[in-house]
Amino acid sequence: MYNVRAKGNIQLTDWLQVYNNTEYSSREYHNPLNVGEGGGIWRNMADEAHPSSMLFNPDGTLTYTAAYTVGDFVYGKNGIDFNRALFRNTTGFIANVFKNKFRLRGDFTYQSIADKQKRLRVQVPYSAAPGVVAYVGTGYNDLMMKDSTNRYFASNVYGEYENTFAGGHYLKVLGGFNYEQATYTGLAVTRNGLIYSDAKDLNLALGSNIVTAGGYEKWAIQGEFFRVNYGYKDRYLLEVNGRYDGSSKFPSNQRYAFFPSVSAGWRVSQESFWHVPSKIMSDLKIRGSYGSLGNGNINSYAFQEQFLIAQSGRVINGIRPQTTSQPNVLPNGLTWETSTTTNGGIDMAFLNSRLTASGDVYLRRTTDMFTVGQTLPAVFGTDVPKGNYANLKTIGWEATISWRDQFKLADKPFHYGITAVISDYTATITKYNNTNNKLSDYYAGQKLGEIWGYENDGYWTAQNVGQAKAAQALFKASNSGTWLPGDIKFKDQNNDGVINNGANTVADHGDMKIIGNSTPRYSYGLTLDANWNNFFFSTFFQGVGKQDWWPGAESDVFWGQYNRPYNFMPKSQVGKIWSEQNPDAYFPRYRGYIAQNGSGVLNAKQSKYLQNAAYIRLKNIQVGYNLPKTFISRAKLSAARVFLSAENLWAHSPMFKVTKDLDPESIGRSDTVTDSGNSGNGNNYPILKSMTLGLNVTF
Amino acid sequence: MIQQYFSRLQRVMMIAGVAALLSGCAKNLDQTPVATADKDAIFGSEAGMKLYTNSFYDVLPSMGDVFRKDAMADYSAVSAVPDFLRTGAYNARVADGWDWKQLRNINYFIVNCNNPAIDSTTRNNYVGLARFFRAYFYFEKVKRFGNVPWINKPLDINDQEGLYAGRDNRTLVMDSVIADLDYAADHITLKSDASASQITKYVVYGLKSRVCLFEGTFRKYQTSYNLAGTAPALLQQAADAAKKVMDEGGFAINQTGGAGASYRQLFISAAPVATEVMLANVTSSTLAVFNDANWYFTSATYGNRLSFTRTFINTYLNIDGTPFTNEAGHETQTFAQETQGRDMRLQQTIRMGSYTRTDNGKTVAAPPVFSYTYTGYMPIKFTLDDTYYDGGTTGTNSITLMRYAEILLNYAEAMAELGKLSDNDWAKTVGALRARAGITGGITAKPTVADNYLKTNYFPDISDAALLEIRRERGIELVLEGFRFHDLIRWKAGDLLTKPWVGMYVPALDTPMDLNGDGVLDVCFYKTAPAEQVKGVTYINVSPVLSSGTNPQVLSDDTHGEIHWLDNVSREWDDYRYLYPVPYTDLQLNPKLGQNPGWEL
Repeated sequence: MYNVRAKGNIQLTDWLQVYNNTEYSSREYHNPLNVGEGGGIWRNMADEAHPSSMLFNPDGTLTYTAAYTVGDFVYGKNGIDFNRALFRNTTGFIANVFKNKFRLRGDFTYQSIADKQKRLRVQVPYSAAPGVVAYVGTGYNDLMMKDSTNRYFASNVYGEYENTFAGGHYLKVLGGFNYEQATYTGLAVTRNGLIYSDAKDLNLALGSNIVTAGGYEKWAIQGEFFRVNYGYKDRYLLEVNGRYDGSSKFPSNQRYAFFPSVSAGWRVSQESFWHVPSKIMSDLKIRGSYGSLGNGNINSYAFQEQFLIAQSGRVINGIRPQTTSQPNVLPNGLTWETSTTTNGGIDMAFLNSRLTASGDVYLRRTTDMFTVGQTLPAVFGTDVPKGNYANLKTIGWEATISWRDQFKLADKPFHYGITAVISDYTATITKYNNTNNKLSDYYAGQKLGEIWGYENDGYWTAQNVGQAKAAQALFKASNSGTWLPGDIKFKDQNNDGVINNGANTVADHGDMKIIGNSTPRYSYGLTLDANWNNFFFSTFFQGVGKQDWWPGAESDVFWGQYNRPYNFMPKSQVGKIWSEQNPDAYFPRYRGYIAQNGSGVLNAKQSKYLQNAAYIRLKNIQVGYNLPKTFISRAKLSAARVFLSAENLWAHSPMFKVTKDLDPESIGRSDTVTDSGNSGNGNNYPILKSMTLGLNVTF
Repeated sequence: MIQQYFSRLQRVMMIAGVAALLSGCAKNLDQTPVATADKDAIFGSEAGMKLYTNSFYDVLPSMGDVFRKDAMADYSAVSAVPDFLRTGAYNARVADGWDWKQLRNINYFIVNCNNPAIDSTTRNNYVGLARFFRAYFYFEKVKRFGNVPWINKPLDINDQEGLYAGRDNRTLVMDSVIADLDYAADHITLKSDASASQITKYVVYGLKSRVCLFEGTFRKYQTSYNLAGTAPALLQQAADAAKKVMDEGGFAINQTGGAGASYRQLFISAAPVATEVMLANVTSSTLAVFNDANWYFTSATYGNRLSFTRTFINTYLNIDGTPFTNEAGHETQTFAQETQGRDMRLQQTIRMGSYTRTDNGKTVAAPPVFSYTYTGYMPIKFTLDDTYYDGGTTGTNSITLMRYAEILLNYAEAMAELGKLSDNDWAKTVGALRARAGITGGITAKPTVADNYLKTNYFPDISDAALLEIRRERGIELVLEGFRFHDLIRWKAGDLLTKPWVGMYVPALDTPMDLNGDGVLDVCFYKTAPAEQVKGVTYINVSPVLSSGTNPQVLSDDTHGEIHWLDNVSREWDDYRYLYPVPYTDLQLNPKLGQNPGWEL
């Protein structure tokens, strides 16, 4: 990875300035693949890299198990090499006219992102008997080359008028025009029959299985905008904004929308009646705003029928022909998603600005939210389209408090500061077309992130397990469907003798209830810093005060062999598994697949195994020393510092009581490079701890 | 002065520039897809219609599906009892198959294929293709669920009535299926296909005979539906459709390999043997399309170790056409003895006798291996002889989906059910298939004596000698081709799925046996582990109790007798299992569908 940046501006005349920023960067990334199952590598290691299997045979060849999973890492042949080159250039001008009262500004940005992929899949040798070499992955032996380019340009032209009038009136008026356009083109070719396993070019692929794919997408948006700022003696501040935007992603009759906003501020502490000494309170500002913004960030062509073309996996009349099939179903209409926010805020400073505090409260109403339509019966026969189907209400707040001071320590000043930031929000669906309010979809009144599930009621015992089959007919405690003591027992919330989710609607949810919420609440950060006598220190903590996480069906790291019996058995489960001697253990009777299978009793969301994924993490801690001026000036340096910096040194989460193998910051999607990311929970490249010893020198 | 002049010019330029931008950019807000096709491109040309209809082929079973279907069949002993046959293990919650994407894809085509620029013969050909696949789709749905909603258009997202409709009666659905097949037969223009990978007119008739035979016999034997009166007409349609293939299709029974190999050639050839194979999933080494049959049928862990039961193997006739089960003492014959002098399809279906394989270029003996088989009768029908193919999806043999032999059997069965089977019909169908397998007797005239073994062990309610023999023939000829489960369904013989999984006869413990008669000992059964083991012999513990619990593999008389596999896990059959349950979540989405009786939760 490397990057180059250049910046320059030139004052052509005393009223015209031209500037240019150029940036180029290139990034390379190698993602290993295995050809045994061909899936994501993290997931595959989790479920197939059997820890007790040998990697090598005595004669040095790979074992079958190794070749099937991580064995190729020894050779490092299979994998995808990604390369991304970004080029961006912005050229602009500023023209000052009318005695610097009027400015005309314009800029033009061109950006090109070129992505290249090279995927090599070759067979991996192994040996199951001395002297006999066999291979896995023989069906591939292919090379895929993919080039895609995203060309983007954006242009803004706007004029600004700014003036301060007698009597303390300040006015700034801005108006302009904005245009953006992006074009994606792609080309991918796969061909098999590599003449040797180190082939790196398509010329060395001789097979007749050739897959080609093109690709093209273009979108454009244009908008006109204005802004008016008015201020009076720094006491009263008023801003009015407006945008009129159009996007190619919407049909012509729903293409344009106007998004106005207005905000005002009042610096109470600047009023003549304000007599509070700044020793006590030095600043007070009250803010408020109301306005709307549009979001048109959706796929291009979503309102047009498209017949996608792909290659068939079948041999029909001697070839694998191209095929197409039914186009996407169109939503009833498609337009901008609009979020209208009402915000109120206050900024305060006390004790000669040593203590500062600010706070914001907001209410945001998102209308025409772009989301998938309600689940339809399977006879609909295709994916329900996405459209402007929902309204959402978000209420949130944010507060920052900061203390900054100094004192003398051994005759030298000791500066220190502490800043705490905390924010929170909740969002509620206020409108969604959900017939019967099914729980499988959004419904009006739903708090985003809410988790419906069953409440645990201990385990079945020898005395009552006879009732389990009738009561929990929807679930299985093992593949055979047999119920035994130590199996999960759910609470019969509606006392009807059977455990189910009723009609799975808000009105009839059977024995389910809301057991938690996955929205991160009370996100906070804490920064401490100090310096004294050329020594400096800083640290940053970050965390989430409340969030629930349900370990999904494929979270093998959490479930261990409850997910698949051939998984690793996590150390954290030792001593926590039900037995007649340990009837109150955290985990139930030991059985494979019951977390993975759809009807497995651990597959159902339930209160006991819902994890409290709140956490606090020491993101960064740094200590260092600035070499004294007297010392460095002799070495002709202008500054030099040595420091030790550490990232992610420590973390704590209530979840760690159950498992330390998962990180609350990395429990969502997995293996996003090679698949949809839904194949497991927490199968990701771990968050790394790192330590840096550094020296910074400025000449 | 100069400053003002320039600024004015600048402004003029800017205003002109902005105006140009505005007008130029507004046009750019009209974007149409480039990398995808639109409706005119698809329905306005034959190439477009062909492109679309290629997607219908995914309605057919995929490469690995066909030979896996018989994992739940009365003659298949497998590593674990299928959940469907275990009490409490299968219910609406784990049920699946309620998937309708392919139907909408087909209906969208049928409804939109009306571009007048294309001549009607061409259009009707592709609509015929679509209706063939719709019939195929619905036939699978009816077999699985019974009544299903009949939908003949792509449902609109706001079509509450259509989306939330209840199920239609199977009689309505099957009438529509037959109407689709009749249309397809009339309008598909392709009459033959040497690649056996495309739908021809005669593949349509073939499917029609399959569909009508299923529905005709289903209605005849599943008497609780009170539809027996409609069975004869369906059986007649089955016979007529089959006859059409026989008279006009140009197919013939493959005999090119002689009696000892012709049958298996159909299943291990890379290119379909298109004289007999009418439709296949075609493999191609060059196009990297393979199957995993070898892996499935040889690996101890990858598949479910399917082997045949002895009850079924006993139905293979002697080479002279007499029933093996009429021989006195056949019950106590060893594997090596009982496999001699039989219908030559036996040696092309299981490992026995002189069967050999190739291992790294060397020819090696290949007796049944007890690290795979539980009964001794280990399938080779779909496996290639080189061990190279055993460890992955590398199989290069095309997998048959429909072949002429099935059509002959459909014809014979429909005619027999109608009471119209003649000696000539017999000779052309069952007789021809038996002759191909080297059988010398009973191939010209239909049998007159009902076989007692079949009556006792399989079909106690059938007394028609020919019908019993046709059912015998169908089991043997089409074994592992995915027909058996639904044959049992339509014959109302589901209880056969609970028959014990018995294996070969073991005369004594601690006595190594040579299974393939090559003089090398292969397997030995014991209750107490012998102090010394003979090299190369697989030792199998058959003591009823192991340290880990009940031994699923025992002998019927403790120290000798037939192997019994998994008697300790009970299998159940009740009449409600003739249909699968509608998945629970689908029923919740539309309660009007109603659950199939017996599957309510």
